[in-house]
Amino acid sequence: MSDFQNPGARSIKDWKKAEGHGTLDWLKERYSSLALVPLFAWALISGALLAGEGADATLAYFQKPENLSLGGLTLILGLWHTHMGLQVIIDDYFPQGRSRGVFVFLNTILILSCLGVGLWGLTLIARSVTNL
Amino acid sequence: MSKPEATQSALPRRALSPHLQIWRWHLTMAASILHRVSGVGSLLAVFLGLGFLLSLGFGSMAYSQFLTVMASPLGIGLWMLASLGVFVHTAGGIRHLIWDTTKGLDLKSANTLALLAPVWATGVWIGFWAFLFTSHKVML
Repeated sequence: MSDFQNPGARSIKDWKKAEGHGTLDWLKERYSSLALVPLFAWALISGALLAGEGADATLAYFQKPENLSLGGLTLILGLWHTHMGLQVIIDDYFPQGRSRGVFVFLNTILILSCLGVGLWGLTLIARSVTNL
Repeated sequence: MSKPEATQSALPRRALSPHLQIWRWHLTMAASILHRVSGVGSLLAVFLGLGFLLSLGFGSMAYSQFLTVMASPLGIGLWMLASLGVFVHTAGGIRHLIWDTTKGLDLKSANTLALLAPVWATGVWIGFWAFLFTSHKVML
């Protein structure tokens, strides 16, 4: 079996090193993916619990510190992961030229806008008064 | 004036992923494309989630209006589509994490995982929505 088919057979010293920041980008994608798996499970359970509930019950749920924190963490890590994913697509299809710069800029603007809206929403939720 | 030849040759010259021009279709390739498509499709879930947070933060009247739109067949359809994208992308991500440990890289295992991830995701997605509908948490 070749080393390609059995990469675990090679020593880590034999692996080709990234010329730029590729290794760090790869690790960031993996760590954010790992963190998002349990956060996705939390979002799923929250969705199932809150579906059909009214504003007060939903607000009370999200005002609990643990749920507010998990919501913020899901927002930040999810958007960070999305930014990296869109960046990979830009790298693949627009490796150079002016259009690349435009898409990189639009990606950053999109993610920062979503982050701003999301954090604004969470802040409003944290400051709201429930009738429960 | 055109660019000097040395500058032009220094630019990276490579085929564009997913290399449809030079590869025949196979399972892991389709899974890779599905992972990318579902990742971009998950943006819909981001926008719906932001709408949810903002309307909830603006108070009960804004949230009621949001729920009215989201409870319509179009709204439920958007949530179903968005959640399918997230389910499929999450399952594809877990598959990649398994491969990253250098496990399941032989052809048979790679093909099995490539098929298993979207099938499992679709199954869980059907179960999730079946629970919401049968428990009357969501109604058409």
